[in-house]
Amino acid sequence: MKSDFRPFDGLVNERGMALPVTLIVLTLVTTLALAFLVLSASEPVIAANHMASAQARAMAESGVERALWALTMGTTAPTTTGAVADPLPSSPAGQPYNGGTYVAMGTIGGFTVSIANGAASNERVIEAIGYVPNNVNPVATKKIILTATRMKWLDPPCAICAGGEAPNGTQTNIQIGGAATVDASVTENYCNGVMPTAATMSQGSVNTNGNPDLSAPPGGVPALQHQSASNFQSFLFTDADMEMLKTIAQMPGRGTYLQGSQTFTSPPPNGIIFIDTPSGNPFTASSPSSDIITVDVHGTWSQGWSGWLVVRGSVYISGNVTMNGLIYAQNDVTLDGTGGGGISGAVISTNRMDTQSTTVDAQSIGNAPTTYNCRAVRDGGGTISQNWFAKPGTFREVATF
Amino acid sequence: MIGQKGFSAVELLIAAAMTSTLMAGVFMILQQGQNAYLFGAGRAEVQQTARGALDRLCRELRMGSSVTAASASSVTFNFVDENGATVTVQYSLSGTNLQRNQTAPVPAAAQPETVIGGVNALALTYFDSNNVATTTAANVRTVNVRLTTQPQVTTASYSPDNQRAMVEDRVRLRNRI
Repeated sequence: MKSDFRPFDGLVNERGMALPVTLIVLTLVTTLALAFLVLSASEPVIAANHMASAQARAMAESGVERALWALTMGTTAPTTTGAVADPLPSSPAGQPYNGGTYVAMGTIGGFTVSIANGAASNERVIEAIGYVPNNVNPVATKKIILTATRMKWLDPPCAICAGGEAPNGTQTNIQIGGAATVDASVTENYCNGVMPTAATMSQGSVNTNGNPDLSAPPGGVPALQHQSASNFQSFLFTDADMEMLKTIAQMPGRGTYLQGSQTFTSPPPNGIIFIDTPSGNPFTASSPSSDIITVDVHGTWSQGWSGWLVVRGSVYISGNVTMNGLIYAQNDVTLDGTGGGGISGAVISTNRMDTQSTTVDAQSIGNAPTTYNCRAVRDGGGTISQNWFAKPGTFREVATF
Repeated sequence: MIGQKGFSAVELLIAAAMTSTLMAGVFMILQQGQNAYLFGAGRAEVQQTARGALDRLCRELRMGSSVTAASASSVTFNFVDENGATVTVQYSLSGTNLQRNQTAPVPAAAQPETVIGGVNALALTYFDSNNVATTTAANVRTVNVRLTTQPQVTTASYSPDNQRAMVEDRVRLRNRI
């Protein structure tokens, strides 16, 4: 019987091989190509998202800068269009600083920003959200929250103020003698909305000898005595304020930072001068004797000095010197000036360590006029920046959802 | 195969030569495709790890309040987190691992943690408030971070996936005056 089994009939010719081989190769190549395509397609998306994220952050920071500008203008040039008044007329501020007004920055994106009152009178809370490409269908958003601040305005109610931080059970007295002049009556020196109440103000008594001239402000008194410590708190630097002043003074070009007792026989650099304890620690009633310092300012100066002299200790001023701004000592102050010099601004002695009473001593040398000047206290005779800036330690980038 | 007497040697040689040529061509195409894939995969890996690590480091540096130790390959600093708390961390290179060591507040997770592996180089430079390079930690206001990454699994130097990605960012510490 002849078999019909012909196992090799299919191989009579090989024309059918091309298709399977081609298909196999094509499948392999297509698989690789697809994998590569998926990979190369996702990379630009990731990169684009990354860029959008960076752009959104930049937009949010633009909002912060806009708010800082508006606050600064509100302080230094209140009539500027877009300025935010100081103090805030409402919290949050009006458009576009109410958090609900979208400010477009070209076609890339934009921001919303709000300005509200902070914990202190010189603090504002800024919240800015950056959007890319817009706030309707954003691809990326970033939110920044920070506290803005400016240099604290002490706005003391007196030309010479003593007390506020004296240890319990100790006296803080002011002694004024000779022909000393303390004048708080020059109304053009007043700050808008700030009315001084006395030429001198003390937690203890204000004693006079000789023929001193204490000129009271309108409606005020020459000497305000036996005031409680709480009446001083609004115009004192807290320890946190002191630390910030110290940091600013340490920055090159922003101030002068010195440690230990100092003597100035000629005008020191204008601006903030922060004289620290030798240890750098805050000055307290229990500071060691090595941390008790005195800054001696004397000589015959050919030109004046303007700024804030902030001392973690005592200040002794004598000779013919002219100083504009703020003299702030956490211990005692002795004013013994002469000649045509004098102080325009305010002198504050907080008396943290009761080593002696604060005195204005003009008995031996004629005159040592101290003229109340609130404006000079605020800006250090034009040397202290009034700009608003981000308060260190408050900048936070937070989630937007 | 009826009637066929088999292949001659010449026919076999020609067929073998043609098949070899064809397969060589196919292999070349596949090899190119595979190389392209490995190149892309390697590139994506090094870029993504570099980007992720740089993002994290720079985000924390941006909210920095002070730098307490500054060297060319490690930095220790304090920053303010989302909740306003001060955090102390150190970023440093350990072998090819970028490590983050949080010392305050001490987190629940064991420290240090590895942020990414496959770091080829970490170069940190510091600038003061005048934008002048400094090595004094207390003066640092800005940090420049340059991170170079490589595949986490070591590959031969001639391999297409043996890529390098260098990313760089310069960050000003926002919580530092």
